[in-house]
Amino acid sequence: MNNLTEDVCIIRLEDFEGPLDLLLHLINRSEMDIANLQVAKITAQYLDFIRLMEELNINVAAEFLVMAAELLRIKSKMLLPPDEEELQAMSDGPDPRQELVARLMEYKLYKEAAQTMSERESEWRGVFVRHPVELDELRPAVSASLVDGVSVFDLLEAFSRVLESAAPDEAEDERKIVRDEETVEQRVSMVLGKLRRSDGRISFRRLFSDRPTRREIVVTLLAVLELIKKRRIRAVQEKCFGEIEIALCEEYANA
Amino acid sequence: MLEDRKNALEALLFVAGGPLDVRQAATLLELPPDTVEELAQRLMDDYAAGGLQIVPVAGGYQMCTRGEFSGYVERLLAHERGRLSRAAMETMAIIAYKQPITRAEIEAIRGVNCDGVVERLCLHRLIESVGRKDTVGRPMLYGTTEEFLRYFGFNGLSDLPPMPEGAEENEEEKSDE
Repeated sequence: MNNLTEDVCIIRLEDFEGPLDLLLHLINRSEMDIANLQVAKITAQYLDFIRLMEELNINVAAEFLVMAAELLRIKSKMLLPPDEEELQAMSDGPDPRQELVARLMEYKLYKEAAQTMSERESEWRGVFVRHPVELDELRPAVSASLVDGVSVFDLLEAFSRVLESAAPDEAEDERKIVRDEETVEQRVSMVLGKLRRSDGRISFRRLFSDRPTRREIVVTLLAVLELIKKRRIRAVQEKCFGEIEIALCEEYANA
Repeated sequence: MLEDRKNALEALLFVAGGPLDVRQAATLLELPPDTVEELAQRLMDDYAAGGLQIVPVAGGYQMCTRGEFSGYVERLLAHERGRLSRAAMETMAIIAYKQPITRAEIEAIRGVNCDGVVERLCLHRLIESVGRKDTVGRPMLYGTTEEFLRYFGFNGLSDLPPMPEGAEENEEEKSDE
């Protein structure tokens, strides 16, 4: 019918997003006005295209066939001279093309909008932002919720203050080796016990007896650090250089 | 004093990376939002001649590179940025202008199945489900995300280029079976 076959060969199939897109292309190429769609001409071109796709063994998507059927329906309707009564009875208006034309026009609008957005995309894909900072990554390994406002140095300072008040160890005095009276594990359960007895919160200072030995202090500090590491307790310091408090973590408070 | 806050705002924008909400910045800087807007505007002027720029995006301000240096930045990153396919862009445009919208309604406009495209746009977080339509089957409704605004550099949906009128009149509930 026409030399569409040659044209079509240079059109890449993926260029068409669907039957409406193909129709728009055919309409454009024929320099036809959508509102005044020449159904017979477009239908012939459309069917040629479908046939070619089949010849090339391309699996024609069902949507293309649905549209072919629709075009043929409209074409046949336009060929039949409508009698007066039928014209009035027809639900979809006097012009059988009306619905298809409306769909084409709407689709064309969004196709153009997509074009504008593509241009916008091109402008913006050259613009780079820094990746938003993962604030968590900046925090020290022991998360802030476990040591609220307390650094290891604060703890060590508190430790040294306790140490100053320590009673001299017998071992130091008498320069003899004593056996470990208490292991860190034992001290851990003692610290937890003290915490539970005082509603899950106690000042660091009060973990110690009135006149603790150096050994007691060291073992207690190790127990506290161990518990923070295991996330069973938290160290809290309300204000700078203030008293450090030890609190049970919620999930262990009732354990 | 205000100069100081302007510099502080600059620091915040640098660390935030993504768009910094004006209200959030106002709280952090202890300034009224209007003043923050004003400072942001002045910062934008300060940056007018550099390799960086500050732009209003997604209802906040964002520090980013200037487009004309993309070639160099891409060399550093050793890859070119991808872009949306035509099918994806068409679907994106329909959702942007007609949201909230169901997949069947998108398919009615495009005349093709959109399962894959909608899924991919969701995956890229350019769209998201925003609820369900009160009709048979309660189909999912889709809308654009903040990432969509960021991707296209829109400050808000009102930034979308205006659509020519006329699309709405012939709206028919029709879907291809």
